[in-house]
Amino acid sequence: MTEAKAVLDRIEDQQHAVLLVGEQQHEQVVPASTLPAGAKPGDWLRVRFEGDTVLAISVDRQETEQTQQRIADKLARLRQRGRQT
Amino acid sequence: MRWSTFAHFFCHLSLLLASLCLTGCAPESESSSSLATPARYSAADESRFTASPPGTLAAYFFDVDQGDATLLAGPDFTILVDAGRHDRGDVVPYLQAAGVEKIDLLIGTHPHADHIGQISQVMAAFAVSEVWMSGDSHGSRTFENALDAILDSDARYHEPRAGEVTQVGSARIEVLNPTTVTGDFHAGCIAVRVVFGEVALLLTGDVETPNEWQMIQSGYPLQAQVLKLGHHGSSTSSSPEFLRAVRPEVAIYSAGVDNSYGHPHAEVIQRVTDLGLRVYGTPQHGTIRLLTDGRRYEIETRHGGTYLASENPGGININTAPKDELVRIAHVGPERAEQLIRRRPFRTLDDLKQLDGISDGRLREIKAQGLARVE
Repeated sequence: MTEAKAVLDRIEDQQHAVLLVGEQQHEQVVPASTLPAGAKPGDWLRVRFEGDTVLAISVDRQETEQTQQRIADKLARLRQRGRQT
Repeated sequence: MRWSTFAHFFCHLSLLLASLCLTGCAPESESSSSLATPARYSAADESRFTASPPGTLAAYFFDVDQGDATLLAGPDFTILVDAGRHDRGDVVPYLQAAGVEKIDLLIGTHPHADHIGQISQVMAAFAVSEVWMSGDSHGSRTFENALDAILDSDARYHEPRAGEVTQVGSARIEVLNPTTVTGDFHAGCIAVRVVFGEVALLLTGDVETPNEWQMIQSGYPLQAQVLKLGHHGSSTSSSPEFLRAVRPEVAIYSAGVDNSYGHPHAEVIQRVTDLGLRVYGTPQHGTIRLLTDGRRYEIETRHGGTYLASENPGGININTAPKDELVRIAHVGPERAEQLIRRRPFRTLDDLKQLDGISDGRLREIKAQGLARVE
């Protein structure tokens, strides 16, 4: 069994959860029903695998908050720049 | 410029193409176009798309697998709408093949990795004057890499909202969505109507039906000759009401061969086919290129590194076309082409169901392709 970090990139057509796994952001599509309740795109997850099979998914709150805060700061810097050159 | 001249012009673009020209193309030696001679597509230069005639807009719907990347290369503007998937490296080579040197406007319609995937590579390869993003924030590395690349550049940054109109060279960009962002990335997706002369293209990214409704209700002009089907042709989008409001002549979708989501969905293809639209998709046609002088337009598709004018006069007549033309029709391979030739004549396209393996579904796709005709 292995565990990897993944980000939930999107849910396609309300059915297919698209995970980007690990630093390589390897795409893995799993049924949206396997996601923990309340998981949203942009959330960081801990995914336990047996081979390629996903056994369990949980939301990594700390990773999610840290990453989203860091990215929000970058977005804020861009907005500050705006259309000035 | 008469359109026939314009159409003939494409037939002279390449030596390869000349040998593949279908009825209606003048022989090479009779070339007397009023336009300047473009760079020729030659064996020594196969990595490039044929040059578009001066003064025209070339819209490339790149074949980037299950993702989106659309280039609008005009006489005085270069706009890229989305930058492919995060796990491929095809967008920069495509842009180079299209002769792009700089980008005036790069739009990341929304933060999903199949749309903003290669923004960082594009920013590294080209000088980009301005970037538009929807304003929704994502936690993915792909999104963060895109932001880092924009921050590292000199590009201006903007989050456009419905109702804004921006002129980029001779192209008018009308923003139709979003009115605001909420964290629902598809609802917040940037949708634009691009107007060049009298020709309009509607690019809605992954906008879904509720926002299609909002666009209709807004009263903004939606009419466009060319509609890129929202969300890769998913049934989440392209509602009948929206199609009626847009009144397109051509529908184009970008999706991957045998993708995990079944895009484009059969009901959407049925819907646009029933409306009589010509339909082009990257899984079937590869990169699709629209060329327009602002009045008329021509659509070309790429096969084996060569453009074939798929809008050649009247398409492929199944009662007379030789085998090497018939195989360009969807679901017609060499064997079925031979069977087709033996069963001639056909009265309607529906008669193609007499051929082994042509089901209702395949017949629909043949019709959707818009290439086969009966005379």
